[in-house]
Amino acid sequence: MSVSGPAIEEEVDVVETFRLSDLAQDIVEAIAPDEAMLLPEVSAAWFDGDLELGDDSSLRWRGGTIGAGLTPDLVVYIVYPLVAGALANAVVPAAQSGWKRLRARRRRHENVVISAEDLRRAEEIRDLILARAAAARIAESRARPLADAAYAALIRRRPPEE
Amino acid sequence: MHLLVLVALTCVGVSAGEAVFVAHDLGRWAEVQDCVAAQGLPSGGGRAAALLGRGADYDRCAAGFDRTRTTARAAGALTVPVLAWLCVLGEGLVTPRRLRRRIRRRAPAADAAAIVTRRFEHWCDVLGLTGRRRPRLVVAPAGRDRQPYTTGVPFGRLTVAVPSGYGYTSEGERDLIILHELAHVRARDVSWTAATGWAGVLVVPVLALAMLPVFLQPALATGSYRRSLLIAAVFAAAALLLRSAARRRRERAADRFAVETGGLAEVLRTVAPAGNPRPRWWPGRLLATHPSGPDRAEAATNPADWEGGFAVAALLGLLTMFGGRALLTLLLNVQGGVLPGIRDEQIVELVTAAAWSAVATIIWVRRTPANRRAWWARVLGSAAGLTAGWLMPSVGSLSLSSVHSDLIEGHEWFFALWVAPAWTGVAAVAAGLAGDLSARPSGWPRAARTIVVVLGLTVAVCAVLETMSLLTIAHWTWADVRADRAMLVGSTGFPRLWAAGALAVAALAATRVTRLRGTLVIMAAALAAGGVVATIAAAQPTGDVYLWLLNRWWMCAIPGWLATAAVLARRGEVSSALLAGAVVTVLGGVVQFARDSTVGGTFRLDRLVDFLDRGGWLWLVLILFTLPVAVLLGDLLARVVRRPRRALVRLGLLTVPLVVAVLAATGAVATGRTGMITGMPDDVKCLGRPVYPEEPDTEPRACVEDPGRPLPVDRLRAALAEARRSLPAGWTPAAEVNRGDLLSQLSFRCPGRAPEPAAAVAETLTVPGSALPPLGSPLTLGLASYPSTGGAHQARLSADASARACPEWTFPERLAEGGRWRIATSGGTDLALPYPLSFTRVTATARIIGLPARVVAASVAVEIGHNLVTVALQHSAPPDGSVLPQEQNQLLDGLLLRTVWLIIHALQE
Repeated sequence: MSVSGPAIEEEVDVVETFRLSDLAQDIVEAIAPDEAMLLPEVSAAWFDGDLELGDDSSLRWRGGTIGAGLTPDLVVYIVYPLVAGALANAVVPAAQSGWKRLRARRRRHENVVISAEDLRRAEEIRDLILARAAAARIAESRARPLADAAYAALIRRRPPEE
Repeated sequence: MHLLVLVALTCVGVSAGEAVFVAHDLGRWAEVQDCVAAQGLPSGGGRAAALLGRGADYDRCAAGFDRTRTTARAAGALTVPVLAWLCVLGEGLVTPRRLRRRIRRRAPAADAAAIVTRRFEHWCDVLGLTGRRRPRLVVAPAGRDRQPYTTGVPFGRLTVAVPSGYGYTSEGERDLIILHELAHVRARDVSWTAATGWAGVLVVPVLALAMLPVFLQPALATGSYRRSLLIAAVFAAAALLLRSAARRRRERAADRFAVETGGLAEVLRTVAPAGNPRPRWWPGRLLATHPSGPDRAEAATNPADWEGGFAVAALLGLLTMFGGRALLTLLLNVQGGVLPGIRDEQIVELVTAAAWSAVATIIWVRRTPANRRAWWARVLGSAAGLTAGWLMPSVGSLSLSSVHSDLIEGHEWFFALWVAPAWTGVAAVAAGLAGDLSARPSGWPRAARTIVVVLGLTVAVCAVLETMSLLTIAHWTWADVRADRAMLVGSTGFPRLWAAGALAVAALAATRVTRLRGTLVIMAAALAAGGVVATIAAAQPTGDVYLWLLNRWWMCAIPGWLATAAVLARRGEVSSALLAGAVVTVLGGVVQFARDSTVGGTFRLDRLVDFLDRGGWLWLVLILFTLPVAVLLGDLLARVVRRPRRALVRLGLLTVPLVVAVLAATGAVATGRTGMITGMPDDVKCLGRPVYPEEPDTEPRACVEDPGRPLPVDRLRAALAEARRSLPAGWTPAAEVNRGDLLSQLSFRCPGRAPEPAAAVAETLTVPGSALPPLGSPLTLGLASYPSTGGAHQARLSADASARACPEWTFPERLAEGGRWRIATSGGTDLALPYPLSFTRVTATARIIGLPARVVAASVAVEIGHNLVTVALQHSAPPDGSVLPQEQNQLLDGLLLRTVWLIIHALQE
């Protein structure tokens, strides 16, 4: 599976309008509609490369600031890292080696188009979301509704079988 | 805690300064070596040069080396904390600017910002944060700032950043994080915790700097630098651990404030588990700057002392003892001492004892242990820290740092066996008194009582420290348990004289006297009556008077000890138990004095002082070594008491140990077994008073043979063997290398003596110092026979020449303060012999770990025709000053004279 390259270009006509941000919106509206207003801000942060999974490591080694050690328990903060990672079938940043993680931190993300192939792999993507959440030490109780919502959104958009 | 981090960071800085000094050769070591080579001095350092009498030349070559080294260390000690402070300052300026730049790039949702701002302003008003104390709020956009934090310039107006996401959470969660951050603001955590936070960042490069010389010159790792490196590593690890512990502690305090102020325990319990997960490996838990989510959730329902107190107590003990050692190193550089008439060691002991007592008592009074496990964590942590701090060398110094470790080398188990239990007892006493004080309501009466307890503990800890120093040097000098026993009880100085009394006053300040009255009266009456009976039964001594006196001191101490144990078992309060024990000990002393005044017929007030002073000291020693065991038994008893049906078991647990203790104590006093701890009849003789050989007949005997005749080797050996047989039993010659043999050093140090003629036959026998009273005094008997009478005469004059050549000199010894012993040599004597003789006395004085040390050696060479009789003896005086120089000289002279006569008689037969 890939999110760019020649193979995708051929299928763009089929699922042209369904992008990663659309999938994230579907998920948030399904399981946390109260947080939908925060989604544009979070989306902008994600595509700027300012959002990542795990705790806020930028405060871990600094002395001049005193962090609370708590982050808001919101779905919008985890939806992009989990879903985009699952779509890319990439290694979880939190489980990556330090150097790779450092390089990945500042990388801008693309609002990729979700291919028909991805839509047909809805079950696999749900499992990948759960695996990615487990690797990032996100409780399954938080990750499962999100994975199920992603699965449902992908199924809804799946093109009819020929 | 923050202060401890600062101290640890400073110590790492000292080692970093040392690293820079070594790596960049700031001491011009190569130039020093060039100078040494040009002067024709040995390359083995100042010690070798001093042995050749050219120590001053070496010192001139090395001038400035030590001064530069000290400057480098001081610069390191100052630079690292200043650097940490500058980092805090820089981050406090940069972070808010970065935050504002992010907001300009991507503004947070307006409604979320409004919600957060409203609650923030509300809580600031509630908490009365106004003016510069009211922090600025910045609602951070989603992205990098995912958790709330407080930042700013220390002591300036702070900024609290709250992510916009908190505009969409529940109000409880929002309030929780706002109150959490405001708690940090109120406690000024940015000023202190931030500095310790940077300690964690700085310690890694500083440690790398400290290790730099090893990378550049690996050979250094095998030299003296290894110790500095080890210390740097230990303190770097301590700084990291302390910094993390300090930050976790502040986070918990902030959580507690938020929960109590907003009534948000349930919210914390719900929200926290989603926070930081528990680190998977245990070092990660120790280094974490925040408690894990599950721990915080647990703390919301159980706001007990989460960390137990072991680490804090251990670090307090370690750093206090280490700081004391470092202070001693500094003070010893002051010529002539800091205060006239007071040893530097005493000043350091007092400062160390006061620092530990004050900090430990204040912390423990303010923080009541949540349960018995937390109480034991404090006690064992303190014992571990104090023991490790006492044993470990000081930072940096190469000449003084290792004195303790050198003194205890080869006897580590011996010291571990009594030092650790002693510190456990000290910690148990302190924790017990503090625990009893903490039960009182806070206010100025409690503060006043705390001061009294601190003062009392200071004197007691000071006495323990002094005793440890005395025992260390005594065991190093004689390596014999008889010397240790004599040091334990043989002399009393200021701290020991007042220790028991001071502790009793401290106990009085911590306890509630009114509730103690009944117990006290019963115990005092019963045990004082027991003392009277025991004393009368002992009657007049038939054996050693000193042992009999020691036994009577025990008769004061043991009832006090039993009273302590009984009250502890009954009430469980350490302060009440100590007070009861002290009062009973005093009563015991008074009863003994009354017995002397009535039955004994002697009215001597100095005896009363002895009974109170030494009886009290023995009581304190017993308490320190047995209190932890008694408290442990009490805790076990308390577990059983929870079940009412086990009344019989409870009675047994209470009664059996007491009965056993009473029987054991009575038996020990009655049979004189107490001497195993405080001294047997011969101990004092072994140390200071010699067991002389049989009184020789100093009148000329009817000579069977001419003692000045040339001797064949078998006859010479027979004469020496005959002389040896006349020595007291047990004075068996053996091969023993005697450390610091002054007489051989004299012959080496003063090589200007005339060349000795070669003897036809010569033989020596040495009675080792471990066998001979006075203890530690090797006795050497020598007999040489020369082909002509001129040979013996020339050999005797050669010995005289050495004494005249070097009337005063110094001998390098790294254990001595200043690195040298001061030595005086004299030649005159009153010894009367009918033959020409030469006499040499060498007196060496120094201070080792602050205590005066004195070693006297004497030798006599007697010329008898063709033969030269030599007898040499070396004696170390106890460090407590109980043997005066004149007494020391007299005992040496007496032994020498009698031994010479034994050889002369053997030659005549």
